[in-house]
Amino acid sequence: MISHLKLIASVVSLSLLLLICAPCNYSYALTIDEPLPDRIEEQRAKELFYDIRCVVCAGEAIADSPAEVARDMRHNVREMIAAGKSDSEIKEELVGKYGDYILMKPPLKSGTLVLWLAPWAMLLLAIAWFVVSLYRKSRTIK
Amino acid sequence: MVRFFPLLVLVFIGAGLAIGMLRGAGKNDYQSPLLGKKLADFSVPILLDDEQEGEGDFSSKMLAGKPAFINAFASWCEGCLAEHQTLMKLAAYGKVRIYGLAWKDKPEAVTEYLNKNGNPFTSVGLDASGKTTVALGLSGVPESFVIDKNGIVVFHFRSAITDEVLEKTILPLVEKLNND
Repeated sequence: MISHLKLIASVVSLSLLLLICAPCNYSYALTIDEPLPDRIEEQRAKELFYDIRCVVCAGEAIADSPAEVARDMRHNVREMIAAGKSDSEIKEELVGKYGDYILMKPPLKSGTLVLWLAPWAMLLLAIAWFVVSLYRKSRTIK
Repeated sequence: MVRFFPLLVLVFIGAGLAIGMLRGAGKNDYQSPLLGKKLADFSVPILLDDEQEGEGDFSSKMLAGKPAFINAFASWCEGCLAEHQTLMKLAAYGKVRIYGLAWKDKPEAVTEYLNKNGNPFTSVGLDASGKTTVALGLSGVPESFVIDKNGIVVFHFRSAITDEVLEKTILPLVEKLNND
């Protein structure tokens, strides 16, 4: 009985997961990315792709995203590398077009401070509560 | 009371997330970094043209000197179809030239789409490969821009425009640009 419920639960959650991914399978033309002829440059490109966010598929880097916009961005990054631009120049240019959120790691500014600190704050809260509850438990055990 | 603490934290976080997510389409909440800057140079082949009879390219040069409404669209894009009648309305006002940039599309498909749904565009260019995507800061289609006579971006909308946006934002803006 329980195992049936577990099976249904896993099927439902898997379907939901796939549904969430659905908008990101939105490619009009299946084309393969052309790598740069220079291996070192191509390596730089591949690393940069992990630093840049896909604007269509939230949470994914352009390295992983099947979206057309991500493909265009990869092409553009490759072009900029071949044109001799540095990693920071490339990132700056993309931020100039799309805003800070285009980077997987948004810069540390007053606006993003909350973003950066919130997880730590929550972790601290969790630890504090844990410690307090241990203390209370130890007091009730005589 | 302390034992309710984790539950309260969960409720608090949950409420925060719910409010954030229910606020609706977030794409246009981000202030576009393109506002106030000159629209980037770009050039793609002309597909359809009322003005130039197929001479030259569909490019930033072509747009120079007068206010313009630029709409990136595609025949396969549902959101584009949804906003199409609003574009037709904008065209009917006759206050601003509307330029269509067909994105990641095929010539026959674009022509068919416009024949079927109406053509609000003074000129249509075709970017089949996506070379304008990053140059124009496109996140996809539909996407719309308004530029003033100096080519400065004064409006950038990253989803389907509605009649409300047309009436409340675009028409007054175009009015202002025409009077400058």
